[in-house]
Amino acid sequence: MEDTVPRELSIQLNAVDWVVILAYIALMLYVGYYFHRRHKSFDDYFLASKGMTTPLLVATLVSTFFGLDTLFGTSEIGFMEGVVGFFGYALVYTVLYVVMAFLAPRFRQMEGRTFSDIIGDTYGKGARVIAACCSFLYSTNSMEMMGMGFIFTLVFGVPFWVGVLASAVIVVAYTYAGGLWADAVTDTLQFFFMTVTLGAALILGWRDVGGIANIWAGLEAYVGEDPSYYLHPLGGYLTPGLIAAYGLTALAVLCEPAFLQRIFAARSPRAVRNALLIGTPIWASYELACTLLGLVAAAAVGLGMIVEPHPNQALLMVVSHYIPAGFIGFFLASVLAASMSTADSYLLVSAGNLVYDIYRPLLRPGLDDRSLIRLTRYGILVSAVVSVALAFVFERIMGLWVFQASVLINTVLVPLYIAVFVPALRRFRLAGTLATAVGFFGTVIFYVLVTTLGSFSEDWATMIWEITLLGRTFEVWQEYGIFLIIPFVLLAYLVGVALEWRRRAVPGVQGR
Amino acid sequence: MQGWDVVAYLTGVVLIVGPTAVFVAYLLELRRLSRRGELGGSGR
Repeated sequence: MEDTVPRELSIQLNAVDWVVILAYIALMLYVGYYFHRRHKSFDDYFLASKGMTTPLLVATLVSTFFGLDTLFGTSEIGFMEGVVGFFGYALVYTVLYVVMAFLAPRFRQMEGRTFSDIIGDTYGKGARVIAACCSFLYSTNSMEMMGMGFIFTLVFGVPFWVGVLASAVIVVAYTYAGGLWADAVTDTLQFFFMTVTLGAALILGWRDVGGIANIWAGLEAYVGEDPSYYLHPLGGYLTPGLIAAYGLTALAVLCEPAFLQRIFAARSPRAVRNALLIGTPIWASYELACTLLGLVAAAAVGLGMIVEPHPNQALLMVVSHYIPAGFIGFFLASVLAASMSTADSYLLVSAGNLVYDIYRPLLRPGLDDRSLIRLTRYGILVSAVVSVALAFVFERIMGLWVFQASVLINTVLVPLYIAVFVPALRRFRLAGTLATAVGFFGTVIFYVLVTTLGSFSEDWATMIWEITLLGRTFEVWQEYGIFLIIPFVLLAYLVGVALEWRRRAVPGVQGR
Repeated sequence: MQGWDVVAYLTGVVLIVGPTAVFVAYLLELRRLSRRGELGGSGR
């Protein structure tokens, strides 16, 4: 297949497709309008009155956590490397969803509104603000903004920047108006759209390409050699170091701000546990479907059924080829849904960080609920502007995401889990403050060093910093930020415990 | 190798049936919440 080059995607839409896409956008805006002015308290607006039941939680958890990175990223790995896209990269997330199902009820019992609440109540204002800053950084969702812009550009044929702005305006409008209720209700529609169309696309695409026998033949033709690595669970380019690095970024599941917001918004601890257990097979199937559709795309190229797409557009290409006319609108609406359901959730979370977690405790402790809602709405606008700006500033958006995940895990994971699950250790304010500070500033310094002193590897698509020590050269990848810094965070926590113990032991100095 | 056909079709079916069941349960829930006036506010 050396004579073929990746093609840019273009999709032909008919009248039914247009109606579906426009109806979908109108419906999202209507939901926002419906919930406007229905909020009596900040909990109504920010935590859906703490009344989210299992079905709503399943839908909003699944759709929020699966954005375009899954849809395009996982199918890209399926296209280039095969089923390792599921077994090597995605399975660790699935395991952590199950783990989270059993941890989530304890978080729900804490009665917090954000994880910064728990960290602040346990360790004080300093730790709270640092945790909120890193949650804000994590939640500025530039990748989804760019993804929405890409789909808008594809559908409406507008310039990319117009696509980004137009899609951002829609998401901001219904989130601004309706808060978490609008967010969750739109998530539910989006969840239904994105999963069912992907399932149908997989069945139709797999059947039309001729099942595994034809897929094997297509893969042989595509790669020009034995393609067995495509069907090997750990085939492809994975090395143990990479598996560990990607596995560690999955730890973000354990302290994900949007995840935890939904856990706090659950009607009961049992509702959220059930939602996570029901959602896990759907999450896993979604990842597997993306991987298998990538595989179908590679085989279809080998069989000469489609032209070779850009790898991250493999899924769109194969779906637009196999899905019946009139259903493309459903699929594009579902792709838009995947990105919007993620973007809206993080807009709300990051606005909450700015107003509820930072502004209120530092400057206006007595802020009433009405003012909190009004200011959180302004926070949504600020967060949207930052997300869109970052989308245009950062050339390599994947690198930004790795930084965001690292800063979240390094700053929040240790102090939060000690606060919630280790009662004997949680009354040490200094320890929590030191740990969050080391995690946050350590990660920032690490990434500044890797990005300024390292260079971008085209082969691995990541920043790598080569260090020569005692005549040996070591490669430090930007993905290593988590396992290099977490030990220092743990150490900082223990140092804080020791210092505070010592201080309390001095006569006349009172502990907390 | 034929097992992959089963895996692919089964995955597709799970993605259609599972979310549809969740969506139906949600609609029933929605009707109940609307009747109680709890949708969009605490009802207080």
